[in-house]
Amino acid sequence: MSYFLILLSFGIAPLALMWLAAPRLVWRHRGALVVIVILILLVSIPWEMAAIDRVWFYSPRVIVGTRLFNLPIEELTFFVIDGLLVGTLALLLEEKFHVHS
Amino acid sequence: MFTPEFLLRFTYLVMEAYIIGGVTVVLWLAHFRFLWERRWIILLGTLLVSAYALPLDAVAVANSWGGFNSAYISGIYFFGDSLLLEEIIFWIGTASVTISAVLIFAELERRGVPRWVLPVGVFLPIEWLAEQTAPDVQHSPDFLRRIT
Repeated sequence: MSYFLILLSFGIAPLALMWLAAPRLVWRHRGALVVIVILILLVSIPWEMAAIDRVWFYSPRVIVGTRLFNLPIEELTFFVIDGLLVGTLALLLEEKFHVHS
Repeated sequence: MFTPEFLLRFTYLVMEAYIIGGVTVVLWLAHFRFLWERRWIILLGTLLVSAYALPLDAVAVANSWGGFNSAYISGIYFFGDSLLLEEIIFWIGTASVTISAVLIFAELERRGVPRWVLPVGVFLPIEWLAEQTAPDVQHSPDFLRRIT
């Protein structure tokens, strides 16, 4: 099992389902989703750079080996997918329960 | 007791307290009323994300896809030594922070605030930002109720 396969199965798949369920809502708030992903990357990259291979590590058999900012490319992909997934869930829940000011 | 080796074991927890805790405090200080009105959405979303991600996290550790350096972690595990306390805090903390921030950004978008301004919505009040950047957009009933 590779990290990319996990991201594809458990990240991209539910994200695609949520986007298909409410495409107009997602498009209307695409700015919020883009901004949250950028902020997550800005906060997480320094945090991750300080901790990777010290506090936590990934087995070489599950990552492809390509690194950016000394981080496995899968980890950066995780931040993007996680931000979009959780952000989209927040939009869907807010829409579902009609909590607008 | 408080040897350097012992204190190092709180490294991951301290990182979480500083980063996730710090952002949480800033968000709630700037948007307490807004977030309080949406507390059930934040709680539900956080529970859903945690229920989805924590088992995956535990499976990854159990299968040695990744792991932790015992020198920098509390060593408190749950569910068969696979789910680290710090990882539970990570998922709960990051989910609640992400959901809170997206709800704020979405509200700013609804009020016509330009997208490039959204990041400062983390620490600046929604009403003030909307007033400054999109005064022509109709105010929310909630805002009008409070100023009249």
